[in-house]
Amino acid sequence: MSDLWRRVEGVDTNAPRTHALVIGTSHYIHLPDAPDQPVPNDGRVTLGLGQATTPATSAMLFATWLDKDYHNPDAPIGTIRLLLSPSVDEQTQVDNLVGTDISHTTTTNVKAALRAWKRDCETNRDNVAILYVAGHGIQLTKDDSIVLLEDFADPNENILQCAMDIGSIWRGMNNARAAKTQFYFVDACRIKPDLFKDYANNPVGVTLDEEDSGTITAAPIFFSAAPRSYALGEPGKGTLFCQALQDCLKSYGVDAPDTDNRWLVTTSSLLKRLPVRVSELARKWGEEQDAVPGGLPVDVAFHVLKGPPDVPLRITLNPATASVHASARLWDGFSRRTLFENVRFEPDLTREVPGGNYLLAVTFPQNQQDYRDLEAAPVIAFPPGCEMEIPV
Amino acid sequence: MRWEFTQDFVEPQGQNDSGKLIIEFEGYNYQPLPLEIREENLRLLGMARTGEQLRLNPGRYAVRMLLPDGETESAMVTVQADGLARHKMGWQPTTLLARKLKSKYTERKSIAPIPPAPTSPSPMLPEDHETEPGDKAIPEQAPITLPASWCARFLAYDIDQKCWLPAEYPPRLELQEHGIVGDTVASELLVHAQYPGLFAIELRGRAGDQISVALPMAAQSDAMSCRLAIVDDGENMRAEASLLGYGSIELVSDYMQTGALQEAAALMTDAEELLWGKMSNPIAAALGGYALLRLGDLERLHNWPMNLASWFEWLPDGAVIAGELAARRKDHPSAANFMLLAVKRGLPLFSEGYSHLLSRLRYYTLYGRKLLGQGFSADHVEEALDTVQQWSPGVDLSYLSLTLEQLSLSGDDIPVQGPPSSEGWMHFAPENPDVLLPL
Repeated sequence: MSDLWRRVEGVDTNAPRTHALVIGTSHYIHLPDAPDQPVPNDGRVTLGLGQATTPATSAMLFATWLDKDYHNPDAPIGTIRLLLSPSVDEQTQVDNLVGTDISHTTTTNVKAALRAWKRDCETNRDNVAILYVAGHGIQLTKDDSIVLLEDFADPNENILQCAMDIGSIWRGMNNARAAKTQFYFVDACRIKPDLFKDYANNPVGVTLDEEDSGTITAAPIFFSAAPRSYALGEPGKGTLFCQALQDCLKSYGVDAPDTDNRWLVTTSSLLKRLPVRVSELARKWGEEQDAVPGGLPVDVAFHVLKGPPDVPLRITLNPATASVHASARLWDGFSRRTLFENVRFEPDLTREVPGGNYLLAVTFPQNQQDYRDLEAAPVIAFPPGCEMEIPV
Repeated sequence: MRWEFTQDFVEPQGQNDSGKLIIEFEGYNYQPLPLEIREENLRLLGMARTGEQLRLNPGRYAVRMLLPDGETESAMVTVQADGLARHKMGWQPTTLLARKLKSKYTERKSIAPIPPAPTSPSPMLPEDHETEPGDKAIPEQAPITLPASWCARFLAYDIDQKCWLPAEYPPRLELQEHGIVGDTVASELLVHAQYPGLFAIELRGRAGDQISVALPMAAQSDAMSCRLAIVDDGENMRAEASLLGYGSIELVSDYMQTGALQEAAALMTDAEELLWGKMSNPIAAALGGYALLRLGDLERLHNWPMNLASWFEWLPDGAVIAGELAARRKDHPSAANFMLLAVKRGLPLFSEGYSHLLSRLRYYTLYGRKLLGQGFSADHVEEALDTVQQWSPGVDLSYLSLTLEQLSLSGDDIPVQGPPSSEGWMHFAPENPDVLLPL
């Protein structure tokens, strides 16, 4: 299969595996370059859309993260299917967006990949299924959304023939053979709802037979729609949702250690942090953007970190005038390992430290009698960050 | 990973010299909050609740609590053999308004308190005035009025005409907090229902943007009031309604607003009490029901959604929850009937409800013939779908209360700019006891 980007060979095929389907569409064959450009008078309905600029990059970044960094000891990566339709600009910004192992996101290719992914996911109920879809899209409810594929607006097809019905796929994957744990990420460039409303009930081309048997454990859907279709941020970094997700997987969305002392990204930690991170990144660009969770967000582990995440630490002194005289030392109370010492406040002390429980000392020169030394204050560094104000 | 709460963390070998620990938390009327108890190396030992006496082996522990505003608090505590340690978790209460502002301003900025009512005409702020971070109060000697203010009107759902009309007996507004940061005008209000019915508030910002917010309150229950936070920065207006009430009611509302579904569900131990207890609050019960549905915890819902749907005929959300529960139990004919009943009652108060309702109606439109069998009226379902779906272009699913943007529930056209022209609109007048004055 040309869409099979990665398959881990030489492993026990009966053991649980994670199977991922990753789809990113930036280039749309039948859409104009920009929404305001004319289109041929052949009856095509474009919903006021032009080309997108970042979904293929986002999909590639997520697939690369899965390939290189995803860690789930209970279900290691088995397969990754990757389908991309990159824009011309993206091909110059990101390596390897085009290759013989990457199919375009046409309806035919996506249907085949979807069924192959479903079959793989159904080989073991302890498998994990991951679907990441990026492209022009719209959210209808917290469970239902539609994402357009490369051949959308084909004048010879019904309007939503070349689109994916995420709700139908989600329900179709909820069958008695399905992987019990599933994750859905829908990263959309927003279709204007008022232009779409007349077509909302039309049949969608890419669906699954709906069983909805209610036998799966967890299947959260994280949906986010960008306020515009062109890139916010630096070229090659993908959509804000993609950036926020990467931040969450690295540190921002990591939960404190569990009963086995593992640092995890869980459904619950993504529910709390991913929407916040998306909003934060959007505000940096003067935009409003949310991520809306839906599906069945029961708390399960998505990613197990191999070590503690880096946690931003910010320490301020009270009164602030003490900062110019103070120096700090941070060490691990168990191993006695020093993380830093003789560090000055400028006027705050900001560092990234591995998540953990530390002790902090703050000292002043002997001629600074106005402030008192701090011998050892506990510093608990949990993601997304640790901020402390120390009275001295 | 459903939480199991315990008070006993003693390892078998430490039975004889265990100590006791109470984590105290003063906010939210001393309601117990979920708490993580961790070893000194941060490994999770288990979940507990604030205010309860915990048994632990002597040693140092890390405790962590997710606060209802989305922040977390952590602390190290020491437990000594045969001793009782008490630790008060520090918490600076943040109002809904502060959180809304914080979500706009990543830097910490203060909100000015409510300015005193002016006794003489107030000078306008110069247009280029900017409040700096750390600015606190607006000086009493220089009372201000807003550069411009937002407008509002209340709508009530008319169950006979099946439409939203300007409220004949509108709810009463009470200003709780009000301030200006730069160009941003922010206000927190209480809304008190005066007469039975479902109400929504339509708001028009200074830039002409318009939103409608369903108000989670009803005079025919103990949920007679709700909280409303409004932030208008001159370009965009945002408003968020949340529950007001005793006990765990506000906690459930706040946790759900910050995506903390597990925390919200953990508080739903007395869901049935919310239906027919001393403080009957079917709206809070509905919200908790949505949390349990979302988490797939159908066992804990057992049959009370049926009571919520039958006993509170004015509440569309009760029928939605009963319908969704029936659908998850594969009783699709009952589910379809409950969903149709919900549509008859109006729009759900919560975006969760709208989402379930629209999804199920779409589903039954496509698969009704197979799932609902004889006696199923495709026309009824399609008609209901059209009724509900007409609002979908405007629904912002990121809010807890049903919120529509650039779409009037009354069906009125929204003018591109300028003040609204249809009936019932008032303008915000924070200095006036009535809060709203005729345009």
